[in-house]
Amino acid sequence: MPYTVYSCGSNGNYQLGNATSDDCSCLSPSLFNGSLTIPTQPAQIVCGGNHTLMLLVNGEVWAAGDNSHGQCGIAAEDSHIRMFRQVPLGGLEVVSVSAGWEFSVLATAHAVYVCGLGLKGELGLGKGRSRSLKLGEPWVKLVLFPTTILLVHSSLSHSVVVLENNLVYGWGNGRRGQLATADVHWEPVKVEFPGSPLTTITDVCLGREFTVVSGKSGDEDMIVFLGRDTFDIQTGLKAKPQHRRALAMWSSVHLLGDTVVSLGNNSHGQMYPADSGGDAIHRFAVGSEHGLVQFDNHKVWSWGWGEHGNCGEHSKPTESVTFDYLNLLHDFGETKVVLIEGGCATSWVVCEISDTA
Amino acid sequence: MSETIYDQVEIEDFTFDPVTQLFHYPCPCGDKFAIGIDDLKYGDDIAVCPSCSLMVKVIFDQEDLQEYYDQIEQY
Repeated sequence: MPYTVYSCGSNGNYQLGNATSDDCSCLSPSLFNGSLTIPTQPAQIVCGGNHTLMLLVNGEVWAAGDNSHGQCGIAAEDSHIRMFRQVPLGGLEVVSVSAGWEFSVLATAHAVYVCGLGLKGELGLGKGRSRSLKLGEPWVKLVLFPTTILLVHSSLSHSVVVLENNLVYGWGNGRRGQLATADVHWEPVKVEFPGSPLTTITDVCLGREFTVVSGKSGDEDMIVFLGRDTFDIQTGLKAKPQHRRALAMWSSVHLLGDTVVSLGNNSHGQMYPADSGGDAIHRFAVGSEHGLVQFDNHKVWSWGWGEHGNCGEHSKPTESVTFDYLNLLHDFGETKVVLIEGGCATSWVVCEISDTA
Repeated sequence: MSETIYDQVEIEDFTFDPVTQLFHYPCPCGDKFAIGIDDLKYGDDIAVCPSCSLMVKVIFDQEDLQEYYDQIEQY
């Protein structure tokens, strides 16, 4: 079954992969080597400052956008990948991908690979090693773990991996304590949780200057916040709201349970709109400062900061860059949505295209 | 609403370019907030993004600026 990936929002560096560098407030198909569809379902879409990586369920990785530091993982002369192109992996079996400001990370079952630029340890390759391309190839092996890697996450300038044995390792800019010890970590370090003995890790989310780890201490639910807390997120987390997942924009945390509890920066409507009804949430995704939600498989709603068209066009009579209500980004009608994702002022919707359509 | 300050960022977290004499910090739109060192010296503390309306307040002391002026001299 083919899939179409729709995107909108900030596009100054071709990060939407639709062959233009124009922002757009209307979802339009991203292009895969010129094709409007891709035969395999995308499992993960991750966004850096100006580039996008897509992991498909068959393990292929595709990328588009700014590649001036090799952050798309493609050794190309051109500084921009204008349409999604397949990333050469040399046989790596990728299980998880992540992207930060100007870098990307791949995880296989036991190893982590990095590419791009990181002036504050974002590549984790050792002190002063800030560019992968200078080392002769886009992807450079960072570290091998004896235990299976479950997932990798990155925000602006730090990354973490969660291992099957409930250990967390991180690297990059940790100056605000987002990797526990306040320092720039040029190599991966084990993230410790002093005073909060997490025995099981269930979820990790990263904001611009913080890390939130959800888990259990014995039988008790526990959420640990590490890093800079300008917006007093910790106080809200201490109430330990029941949640299934925790997601982070750059400056806020959203706990997804029967309802959504939003904590943090609300300068541009980032807090999930309170008057959004009692319908059960089916899918939920956040970008740098906006969010997307679905209550069924067909309609996609947006809220938050939408200045680049990433929240669509207002359905209320206002020209504000803030969407402090749930705005209908698009109704796909009979077409089935299978994935939504948010990036740096970009929005992504993957649809399954029935063969008869 | 567009006048709202998006966030506060400490000066050490900016990157300083001694050629353009600008401090830069990533904006959630993909571009970068920018402010000139002389702007900071003469009382401005709001870095703006050339691509959108977001602004951040720069957290700094006047004495922090000297090391960056030294970088310009050395350049």
